[in-house]
Amino acid sequence: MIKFLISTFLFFLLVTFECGFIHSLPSPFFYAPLVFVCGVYLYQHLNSLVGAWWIFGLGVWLDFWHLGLVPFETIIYAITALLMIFLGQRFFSNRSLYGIAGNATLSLLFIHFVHLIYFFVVSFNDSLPFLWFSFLGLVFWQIFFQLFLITILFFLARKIRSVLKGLLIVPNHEGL
Amino acid sequence: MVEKPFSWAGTEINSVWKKWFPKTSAILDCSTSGSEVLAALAIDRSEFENLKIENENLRQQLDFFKRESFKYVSADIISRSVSTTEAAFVIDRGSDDGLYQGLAVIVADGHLIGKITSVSTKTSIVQPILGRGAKTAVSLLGVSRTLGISEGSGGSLLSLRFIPQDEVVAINNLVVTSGLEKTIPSGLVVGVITGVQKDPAAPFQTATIEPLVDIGQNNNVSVIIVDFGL
Repeated sequence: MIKFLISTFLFFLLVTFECGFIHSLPSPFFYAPLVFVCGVYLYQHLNSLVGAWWIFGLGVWLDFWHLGLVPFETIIYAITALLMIFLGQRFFSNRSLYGIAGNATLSLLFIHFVHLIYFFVVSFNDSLPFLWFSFLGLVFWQIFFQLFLITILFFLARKIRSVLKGLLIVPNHEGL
Repeated sequence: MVEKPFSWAGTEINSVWKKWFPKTSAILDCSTSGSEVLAALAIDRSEFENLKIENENLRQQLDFFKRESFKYVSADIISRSVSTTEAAFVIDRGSDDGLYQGLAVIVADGHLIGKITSVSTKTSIVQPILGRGAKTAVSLLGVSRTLGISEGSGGSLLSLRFIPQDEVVAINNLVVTSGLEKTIPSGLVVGVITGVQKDPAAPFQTATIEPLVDIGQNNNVSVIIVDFGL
């Protein structure tokens, strides 16, 4: 119960920080996907399922506030969380920076791929042009800032692990 | 509201950033003046300029409401979507403050920036006029008062559609709300015409509108409440 409350509090803090502060920053800084990166990092590097719940929670948050680029973000983020778990268990090492970066990048690309399909389908009933430059810019900068944030988190891993162990979010045993 | 200080801090940084790295004007070369005192003075000056702009913005909003005798509610932006031009932002006023769906959200001297799409008791969700598919009934300010519909495409420009071929649309014409939407008063500034696309085979011509304000640099907005006399 305590673990649930603490991880929920941390999630709300991070998502509020992202939607309030980061999204108010000038371009391209507002693209930084803080909650998503923290979710992947928590799951992949620190073996905590809380990370997957955070990614799912981000989708619920975006739908609740209508802040997503497309409707049904909850479903997209839920599938992404499952994909991240699958990739983390089957393909990527939880020890290397490249493994975490690879999992995060593929999971993020999946979200953008679904968004792209949605825009493609919608554009059939729509005379508006699809802004490829804007969309590709969003994808590029999100991946760039994601890699940047993951690198920072990776090098602060020891400190983060000890803090999160204290908060009961990370299991005490090492490795999967 | 927990989000307010975060949003305020982000918007301030955004304003400072855009002042330091303006899009169109030349950037001053400060590379030779490397002293810390100059840097500190520059930051002070930037903060001062920011406060001045915020003050000016609020004054303009107040003057606008005095002039137009609209009922309005001031609000702060507390949350934004991943892009400033797509999707939505959240303000800290809701149905408890008399807001309802469809109301116009403005900044500065009556510049329309969005419409309320959803309301809860304490907060409201606003779709920017630049958001993909956001439609607004507008007219051109000038002799003809041409009517049309502006539509956001998710970028930084709007399209003005359904202008009859025989209407004269010129670059730099001011575009304002037409008043055909019952929740949005007429005369709110939407932007200026920056391009006209005329296809003789098509029944209508299309124009491009550039908004005159940047949502990213505004943290305070006002919502115009239309009184139906009920």
